[in-house]
Parts: sequence; structure tokens; C-alpha cells
Amino acid sequence: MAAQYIYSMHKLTRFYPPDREVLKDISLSFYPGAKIGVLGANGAGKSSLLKVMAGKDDGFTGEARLTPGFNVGMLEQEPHLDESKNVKDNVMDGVAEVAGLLTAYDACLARYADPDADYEKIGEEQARLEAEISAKGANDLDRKIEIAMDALRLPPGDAEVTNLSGGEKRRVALCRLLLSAPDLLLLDEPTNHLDAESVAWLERFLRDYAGTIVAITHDRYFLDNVAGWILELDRGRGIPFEGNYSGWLEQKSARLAQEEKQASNRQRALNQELEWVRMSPKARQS
Amino acid sequence: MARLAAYDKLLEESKQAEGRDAKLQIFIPSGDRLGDQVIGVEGLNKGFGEKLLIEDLSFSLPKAGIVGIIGPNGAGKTTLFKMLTGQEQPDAGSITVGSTVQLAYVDQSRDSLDDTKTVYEEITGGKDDLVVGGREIHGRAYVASFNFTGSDQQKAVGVLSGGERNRVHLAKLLKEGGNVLLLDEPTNDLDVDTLRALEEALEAYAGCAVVISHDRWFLDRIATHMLAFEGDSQVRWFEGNFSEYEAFRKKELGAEADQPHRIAYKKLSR
Repeated sequence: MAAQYIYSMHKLTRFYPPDREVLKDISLSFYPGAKIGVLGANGAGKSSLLKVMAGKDDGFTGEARLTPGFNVGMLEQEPHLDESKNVKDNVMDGVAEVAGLLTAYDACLARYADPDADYEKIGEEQARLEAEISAKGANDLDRKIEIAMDALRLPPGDAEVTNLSGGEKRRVALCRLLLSAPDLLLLDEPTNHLDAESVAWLERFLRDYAGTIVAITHDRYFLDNVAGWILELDRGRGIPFEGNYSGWLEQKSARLAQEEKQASNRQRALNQELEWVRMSPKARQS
Repeated sequence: MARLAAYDKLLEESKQAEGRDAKLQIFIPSGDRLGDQVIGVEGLNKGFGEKLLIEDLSFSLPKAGIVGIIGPNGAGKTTLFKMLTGQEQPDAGSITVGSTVQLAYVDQSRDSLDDTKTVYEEITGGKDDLVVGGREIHGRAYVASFNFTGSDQQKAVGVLSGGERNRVHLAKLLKEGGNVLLLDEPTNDLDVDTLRALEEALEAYAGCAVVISHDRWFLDRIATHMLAFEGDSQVRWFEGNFSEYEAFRKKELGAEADQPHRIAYKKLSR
């Protein structure tokens, strides 16, 4: 049975004593496969929301729950790597399950060499593993790993992670997370420390991603080309909008116009950007 | 792009806006009038350790141009800035800086801000009367032009968000005024509202700006030219914004343009 929602929250509130309420009474449900961009000023509660969704913070009131049967993975602002392993092995941690299948497959094939082997039994095992490998898209795992490591410009695979810069660590963690392909992918500023071409690659990767994505980002091309929803957080409150960044700008500008009789500077800035959006060719990005 | 031919108009509008309660959320003061010769780079080579970062680079900055610099980390973007400011020397080739050029360099070292000072003190150095770009302006008005109004000016730098720190850093370093701006990753850590304000500020800026940034939308909105570090020590001067550059690369490389690679350099042979 297909679940209606992958994640739902009801009257979610996160309060830090004595008086900081970072999330206020948020009720939202997330459709499987939805791609959501999260916008908001610093301190609006964006990272707090993602931490709750990742199951890393249970100090909230109200309800917030991942639908059973789905898994979740998150890129944090300062992610942790396994310092006992090099870059490649950290990345491999993300694909441990799939890599395990491939190892089992190789072992299975090796058993054919045994003269006393039960070929029928091995054949069954082989077919089962092949089906699973194909279902998980693991056939060309090595190539996928190499493409991702290259596109995110990771340090050499044999480099120790203890010597990496903050930006390099984040890129390794992002690579590991993307390859692990969780059903619910949570990204906190994924484009920080990526250059423009890597960001463009990431955008295409996320556009084709089968799972649900909730991404805190200021990358407006991602928000425009990939996001189907914009979730704006304003002082702890969540304001969902169905549409991309251009659509969100339109409604935001209209909303501000209503709220403020005379056009504020901020609204004028919004309008300037809208004007640019409207005059640009629709296919700015293929 | 229209702004390339409109330097005089930009300069005039910019002078009028200064000191008033400007329409812009961020206002970058322009320096003195810029002559036609801005900065010319000819046959420049630069190595670092064993690597050749830049091979045979030539370009000439247009006086109302906004040049976006893109490329992977470690490619040599900041090194290029340091050569333009004279902090580092090219291994070969020449850099000619026009006689009217006043450089304003905003580096990435936002850590150097004093957390115990207020926004106002940190930006103005405590002086109420500033001379910015050759004109007098009250410190309060200058700080306000970077969108720190009223009580925000009294906040301690230590409590600011990343985007606010970024604005303090910009305001502090742009105080001297200049007609050629070098900005090293000003878009990092900025929220969408501040990015939008910075885009407007640069569009209204009367002068030449060279900006290292990874933000494609930002580059598409403001850049008239790109300097792209493409790997193998090649740096390309391109007339157009990021999307136009991307389309050009797709034509040149085909599907390969969609797959970025780790950066490679030529070996330096001294």
C-alpha cells in the first residue's frame, strides 16, 4: 500500500527555555517524492525543523513522525565523518548495503567452482541476488560512485579525512549521503562549498532523485528548477507555497503589496528581481 | 548588456543617491571617475608549488563591467585577486593598472571582525564624519546604507548572523570607496533577501566589479563577463553571464559539460 504521506507533523512546537520558541505550531504533511525548498532568514527555525525531521531532536511538543517503512538521511551544516577511514571508505559507508549485495554476488558465483556444489541452489541464489541488485540500481555502482566523487570534486579517495578542510568534509558527507539514497533526503545548505558547476550537477542529480527532498538553500536555480514547493519559515511559523521560486516571488510580492500600503524598499527589491525573472528566457537552464 | 555603455549615467545616478535615504537596501559608494584604461592583463602565467595555476591569461576589464569569476576551490581565483592588488606577482606576463583606478578589495576574512564592537563602531571606526569616495557622509547614514537601521547599528558584531557579518565586512572595506571592486565570495552565507539586495547594489554601482561567486542566479543577474577557471591551467575570458557561458561550454564539450571533474593542473616547468 502506498503511503499518502512520507512525513507528517501536527502542531509541532520547539521551545528552548527560557523564552526561545524556534518552531511555532507547525502542521504540515509531506507527499512522497515532493521536492521542497526551505527559505527564511537566519534564526527563522530552518535547521531546527530539519533536525526534528531527521529524528535528531526529540525535544519538541506536538507530533512529528516519519511514516514507518521509510528511511531518512540528513546533511548537516557540520557533518561527521568516520576519522578512522579514508575519503573513499567514508563514501562507501553510504552504499554499504548495496556493496554488500555485490560482494555476496561475487561469493555466490565463486561457489560454482566447487565440484560438489549444488548448482540448482546456487542458481536460485544467483537469480535472487541479481534481481535485488537490479532493483537497487547497483549494477554500475562503481561508476556512479566515481561520477559523484568527481562531480563534487572530492579529495583523492585515499586521502585521510582528518586533514580535510571544512568544505572538503562537507563534500565527502554530501557524496556519501546522496549515494545512500534515503527515501527522505534532508539537506541543510547543500551548495555551500560547492562551485557553480558542481552546483549545476547537484541540481540535475536532485531533479532526477526518486525520493522526497527537503532542502534549506539560497540557491535560487535549485528553488526555481527543482522545487515543487517552497516552505517559508518566518519567526518559527511555516508558510507553505506550492510552486517554484518565481511563483513564490510573485505571490510574496502580491502579499507584501497588500500588507504594506506604500511600497517598501524590500518590496521594490522583490519587484526588481521579478522583472528580471520575467524578462529572462524560460529556458535559462536546460 | 546595457550597463556596459552606460557608465556616465550610472555614475551620475550614483552620485545623486549618495547620502540620501536611498532606495537601495545596500548602497555601494562609487569612487572617482574611471578612465577608459581600467586593468589590462597580458600573457599572465602563475604557478603555485609544482602546479601551474594560470597559463597565458589575457583580458581587459571594461569600466562598467561586472565580471564573475568561477572555478573549483583551489583553482587560483584568490591568487588572481592578489596579483591584481599587487600582493603577489605574476611569474610571466604583465598587469597594467590605469592611472584613475582606485581598487577596493573585499577579501574573505570575515573572521577578522571585532565581536565586541557594535556594528556602528566596527564599520565607521567610531567616526561620525566619514569621507567615502571623496565625499562627506555621516557615519549613521553610511551604516544605514548597508541596511543596518536604528537599533541594529548598536548590536554587537558577535551576535550577528552570517549574512549580517558579511554586510558589516562589506561596509567596513568599501568605506574607502573605489571605482574598481574586487569581491571574494560575497555571496557565501547570504540569505535570499540579502543576495537580492547585493545584486541591486552592484547593478547600481558606478564602476567595475570583479566578483568571485558560486551563485549562478547572482551571476546571471549581474555579470557582463565571466572569467572561468576550466582546469588544465586554462582560464577563459567570456563575454556574457553564467548561463550563456554554460550554453557555450555545452556547445564546445557536448554532454561532457554536464559532468564536472576534479580540477587538474599542468605541471610547472621552471
